[in-house]
Amino acid sequence: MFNTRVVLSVATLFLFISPFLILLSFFSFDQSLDIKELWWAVKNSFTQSALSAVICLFLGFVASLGLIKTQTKNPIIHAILIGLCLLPQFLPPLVVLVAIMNGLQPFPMGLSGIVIVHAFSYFGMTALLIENQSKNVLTQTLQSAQILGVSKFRYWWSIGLPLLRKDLVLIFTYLIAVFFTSFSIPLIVGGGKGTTLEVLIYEKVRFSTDWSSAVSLSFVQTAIIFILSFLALKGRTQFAKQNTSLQWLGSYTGVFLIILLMVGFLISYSSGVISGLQQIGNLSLYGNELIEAFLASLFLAFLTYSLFMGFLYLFCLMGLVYRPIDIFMSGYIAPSTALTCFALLILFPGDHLWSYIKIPLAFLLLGFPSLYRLGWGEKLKSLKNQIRIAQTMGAKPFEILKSITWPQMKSHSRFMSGLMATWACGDFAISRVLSTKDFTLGLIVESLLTSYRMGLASLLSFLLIIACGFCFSIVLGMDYVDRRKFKN
Amino acid sequence: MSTVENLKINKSGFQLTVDRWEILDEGIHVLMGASGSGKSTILKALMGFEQTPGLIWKMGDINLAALPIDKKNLGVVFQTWDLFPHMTAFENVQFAAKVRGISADEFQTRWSLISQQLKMTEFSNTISEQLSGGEKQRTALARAIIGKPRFLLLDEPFSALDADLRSEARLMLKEIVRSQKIPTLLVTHDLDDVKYLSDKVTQMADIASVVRLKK
Amino acid sequence: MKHFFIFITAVFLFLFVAHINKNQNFLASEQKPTVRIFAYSSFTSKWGPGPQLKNLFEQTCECVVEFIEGSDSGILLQRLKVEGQKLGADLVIGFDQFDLQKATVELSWRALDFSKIDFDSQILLASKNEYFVPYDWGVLSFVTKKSKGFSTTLSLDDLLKSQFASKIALQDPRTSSVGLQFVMWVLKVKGETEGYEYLKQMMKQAHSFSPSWSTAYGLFKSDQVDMVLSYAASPLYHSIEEKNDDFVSLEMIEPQPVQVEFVGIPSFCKNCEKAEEFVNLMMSPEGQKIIMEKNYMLPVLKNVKIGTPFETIKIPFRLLDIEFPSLTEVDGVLTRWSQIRREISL
Repeated sequence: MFNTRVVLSVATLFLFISPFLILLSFFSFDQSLDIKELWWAVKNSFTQSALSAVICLFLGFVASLGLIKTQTKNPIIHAILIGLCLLPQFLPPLVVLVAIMNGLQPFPMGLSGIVIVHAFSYFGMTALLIENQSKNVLTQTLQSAQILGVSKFRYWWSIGLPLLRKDLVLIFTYLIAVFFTSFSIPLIVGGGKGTTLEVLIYEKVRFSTDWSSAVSLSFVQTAIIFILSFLALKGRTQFAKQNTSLQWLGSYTGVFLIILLMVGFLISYSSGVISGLQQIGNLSLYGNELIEAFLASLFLAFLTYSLFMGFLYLFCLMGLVYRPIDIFMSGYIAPSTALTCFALLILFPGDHLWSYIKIPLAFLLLGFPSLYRLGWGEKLKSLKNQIRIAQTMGAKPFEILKSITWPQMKSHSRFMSGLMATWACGDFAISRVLSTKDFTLGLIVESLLTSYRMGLASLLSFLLIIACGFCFSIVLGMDYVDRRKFKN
Repeated sequence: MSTVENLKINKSGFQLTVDRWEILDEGIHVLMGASGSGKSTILKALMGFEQTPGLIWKMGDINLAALPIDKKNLGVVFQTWDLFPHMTAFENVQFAAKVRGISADEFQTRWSLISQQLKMTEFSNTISEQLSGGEKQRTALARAIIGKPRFLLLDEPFSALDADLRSEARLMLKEIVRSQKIPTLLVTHDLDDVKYLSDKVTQMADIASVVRLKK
Repeated sequence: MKHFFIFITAVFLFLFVAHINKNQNFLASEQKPTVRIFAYSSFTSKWGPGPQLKNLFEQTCECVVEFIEGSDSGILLQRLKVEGQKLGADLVIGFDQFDLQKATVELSWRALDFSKIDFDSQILLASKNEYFVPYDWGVLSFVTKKSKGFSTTLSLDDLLKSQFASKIALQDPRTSSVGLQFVMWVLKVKGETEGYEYLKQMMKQAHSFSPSWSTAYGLFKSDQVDMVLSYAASPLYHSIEEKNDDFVSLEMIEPQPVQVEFVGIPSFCKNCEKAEEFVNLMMSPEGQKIIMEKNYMLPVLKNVKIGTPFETIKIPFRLLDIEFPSLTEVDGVLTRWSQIRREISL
């Protein structure tokens, strides 16, 4: 067991730092890194991420009031609101982008555009985090405050917000970390002004083939993100176990905000799709390529799912997670999307069939650390005592994996892998770097989007949603079948 | 008697040393101490989950400390029982027997004996996640002893039970340990455990020195 | 678990068979050589001349043409350097006169004989080189809509006025040849000092600097901006394809720049003869017509546009001479431009 753990731990570590190793073996650090340029890019990154985080947090807070209001009184409405809040997270980013750009005419390129897209994409998730933390933190003081006759506003101002301050700061830091590494949004809606650090890295490689600078910049970015993520995850929130009602604290304003934003989103998107239907004749230019692209997207999703499930299975074989590996996974951030992709570009042949290996691998390198931090790692660690008991019984590593660890991790792993597969299906940012032509639906939609053929982009993004939905429903279906079998 | 010698544990915050300690090799030996005194740490060290270079745990001719975890053949019940929640009570116990290499026939024999003694027949086909505290505790005990362990290590196994259930659980433990003739080390801070179960009591202060390190 | 594996295998097999099936032609075509052509996105897109030229060529060449896109001509060379030899690039389409020096210094090219081609007199100068054949050309201009009410004769300085604030879509000179044309144009007509000062102000004034011409033009077509830097022939596209005569190209007070686009064959080509045949197709009257009608650029051969609406395109009276700046000059301009960029934060 000791040897298996060691081997797997080292292999995992090596896998995730491989982009750095690949790039360092080809290129050296740029000793004469342009500090002014670095400072400019870091400043831009912080400006857009901080502003996005502030607005996202504000919108998220107001939306959370709506979730709190409907928590116990209207559970069905509450469930619908949660679904609406999480919609931008589950939809392919392209769909969100298409809808927002359709809805805001003329679309404000630059800082405003970046902030709008970021804030919209994450306000729902922020609302859920705040609602959850409110349940954890505020329940004990609520009844006393009500008995004393404190008003809702007074409660929030004097008690609620001060008690939640630490959590809000953590959420804010987390949002900054997420927006800081945003790549495709600043690239597409940045308007070519005010380059962020992530885009600068991309430009260094793509435009000036200055790999040494790109590697150096990437290390700087990783260091910044590591610090931000570490701070953000230090006070990691746990999900509330008690089922208490904070309804009094909530407000229907939050409900209206969620509905307003999401209905606006859906209308904007639908109008784009309808406009696309009127131009459907133009799609004949693509001919069979659309079907090929649809199949290629599904195939990519399937490969990503398989790779993730295989990797998660192997990771579970480790059983007890070494603390250094846990710290590494909790704090590790991939060098940058652009640089990870370029490392894979160098490593593998350029033929487009190799994209089916490069793209899932890129998703693994970029996605697994986030999944680990989003609860998969915690779930695995919660099995520690069970694994220890099995070890004392004399069970071998594979026996423990097969009989104890995997049956309990399977469902969660399947869900996470399914999510990754769905994102791979709708991806364009990673595919754009790693493939040579428009071979997936995501890439075709992106081509249409960047040449502002909004109607067709919306229409094809709808096809993308169908593809992603198909992927995810297969995953859910498998889980359902498995659970039924288990019950029987 | 089994002897523990040269147990040294260095953890962040404290250093724990046990130079020499004799544990009963039959009956129930209780190790007592306040919460946070290091009792559970000693237990984990004996199981093999702590770094303890130089530790010797002699039982007859065998140095258990030198054996890998899966070869020590220990039975363990933690405070939180840690049943495998996706398995039934029966499957939890069966799994332990299987990994210990107990044949199907022998398992059947032992299972019918133990399940009767611990009154498990009513709930043996219930998923362990759905069991009550007392039922979980009995299942954990059955799982720990089904494989005829050399030693049974119990880390405050009753602390999560209500007072009335505890009395019943103590009684069951005493009976089964005596009938199966398994030497048992019970770690607790509850005086009633000492009163009703112990054949010998050791205080933490008598065997261990703990040095708290400054931050 | 067993059923899970069976189900997953079934799905996998279905997708795999479907994937292989759709590639029947691909598999069959593996026996035919693949001519890999690097070109910019608007050339290879469904609306560009690439697909039609490809179909025409494949009818007779006993080969398969595969396009590899380099979003815009500005990074074609980068992509070629990094991936060209690995992928096997046989032909590169889309360099303009500012790329030639760099292309010659950084890579080696196959010498081409096009002495027999009857070039239009306006771009004769561009044909005086060994390796790169000009295949189309255009006059750069600002394109707007008549309904916006702007004067059709403007100067570069007029564009800095407040009425045009955030209304002009330009292109990034590092990635777009059109973008670089604009920067060189400004420096040519205003001189270095005044030119860079102008660019600084334009940096704040412009709506955006898109990575490619197609993105910038897309912004204009969808009314995100009122004006875009494009070609004098662009309004003709709207007139013919959309039956919309609202579009107009401005005549600038300053002499306007000319862009010539070239095609070349890298020396590491694998299907060099086929690549030459493709060049011959591009230079034939039929190929030139396709390029003209799809790219909306002017043909390099004489007489191709006679009898077509392209005859009506008004060539501005004053044009800048076609120049071939050195690699150092171009790099210097881009470096200086990057520095100006840094003065603008988000």
